[in-house]
Formats: sequence, C-alpha cells, structure tokens
Amino acid sequence: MKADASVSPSPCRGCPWHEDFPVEWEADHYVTRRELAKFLTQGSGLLAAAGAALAVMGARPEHTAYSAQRICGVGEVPAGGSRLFRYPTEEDPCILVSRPDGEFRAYSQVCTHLACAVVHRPQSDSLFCPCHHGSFATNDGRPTGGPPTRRLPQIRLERRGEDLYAVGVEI
Amino acid sequence: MSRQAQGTTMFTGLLWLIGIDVMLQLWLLTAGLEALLEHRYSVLVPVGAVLLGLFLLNLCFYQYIRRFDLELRVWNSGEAVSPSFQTRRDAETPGR
Repeated sequence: MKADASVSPSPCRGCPWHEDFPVEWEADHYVTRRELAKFLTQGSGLLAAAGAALAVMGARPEHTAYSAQRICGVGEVPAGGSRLFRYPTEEDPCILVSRPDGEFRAYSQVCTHLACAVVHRPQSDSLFCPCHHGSFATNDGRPTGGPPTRRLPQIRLERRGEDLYAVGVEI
Repeated sequence: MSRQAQGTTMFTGLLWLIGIDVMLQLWLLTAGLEALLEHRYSVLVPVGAVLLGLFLLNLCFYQYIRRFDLELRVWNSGEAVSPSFQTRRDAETPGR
C-alpha cells in the first residue's frame, strides 16, 4: 500500500536512507477500510466456493452397493452376548449383539464421537465407549449418554437358515 | 450533510453488513460440514445456494462502495464523471 505521511511523520526525514526507504512502519501496517471490505468480500467468495463444493458432494448420488457377508451361525452367539466382525470391508469393524429378547442387532464399532471402538455391556444392554464414557442403545444405536450426539451406523442383518448375514449399512 | 460524511456513514454501514454476512457464511459452512459428516446430504445443496447468494450480496455491496468511492474522488478532483453524477454535481455545486 502507499505510504501515508499523515500517519506518522518520520523523525528522520533528512536522513540519507530516507529517500530509499520512504515508507514508515506504521503506514506499512495500516489497513484501510477499503482494504478490509475487499478482504471480507474475497473471504466471502472463498466460503461460497467451499459451499459449492459441499453442494456438489450433496448432489452426487451414492452408488454404494453392499454384498452379503456371513457373520456367524445363530446358535454361536448366546442371548446377551456379542461377536465382532468386519463389514463391508476389512477396514470397518462391527459388532453383533444378541439382545436379551433374542433379537440380533449389528452396528459399526466405531464411536461417532472420536472413533474409539465401542464394546458391549450386557448388564446395561448398551454399547459403551471406554475412551470418553459414551454409550449407545442396542436396539437402535442412538446415543444414550456421554459426549456422542450421533447414532451408530446400523448393519442390516438377514437370517438365512441358521446363519446370520450382513447385507447393508444404514447410516 | 456533506457528500463526504454521507459516504462515510454509508461505508461504515455496508462494511458492517458485509462483516455480518461473512459471519453468517462461516456458521452456515460449519453447519454444512456437520451435515456432511452426519450423511444428511439433502441439506448440502440449499447450504451451497445460500452461501453463494450471500457472496453475491456481499459483492454487490462492495461494488457499490467502490463505485461511490471512485465517484466521490472524481467529484472532489473535478474530473469528468457519468452523466447522472455530473447532473447531481452540477445541481449541488453550480459554481464549480
């Protein structure tokens, strides 16, 4: 920006170096309102660009196709017990829970708070995250305590004969 | 009220409006990111549209400020300006 002599008159106007370095420190760091308005408008443009990127991600249809994967036999998990498995890929840990009423539910094992692994607590019929003491209900995966605010992704199950299969993920 | 004082007031007001718009955009972008993480994709397109709308509004404000500022400088220097501005200037300062 241009030097503004009115900001701070130099005490060294007659110095030999002043001709080569005529801009004062204060003047160099002085931000005019015009510059601020320009900066804010440019920032607004950047935020709009980020919003457009979000919109593109939102408009893109999801083409995730899940394959069926056998988890275990029905008799292998007792009532009130649990079993770990990975679905849909080897990078996605999940937990199968046998509820006291005999129904099976399966969820992603990754806590929706800070991605620790949740464990089954049969005594309270809940999924518990030991990192920050978050807990989730086993019947629908919703958070029931602690810091998590989002429910656990649920794994869709299908019973084929005496076997349990994971067939999809509901986020 | 002099044109200079008028411009200062307007400049301050519009600068505030631009600032408030940017704050709103920041909040909206944060909410959009949260929705993305929660896989609520239907929210993202409206969020993008509103963010773009606020940017266009800011751009209009900024352009208005810039044009007004430019014309005020020209006004003060006495150079040629747009016909409408010339008419106003002649009306306000007939002796110029």
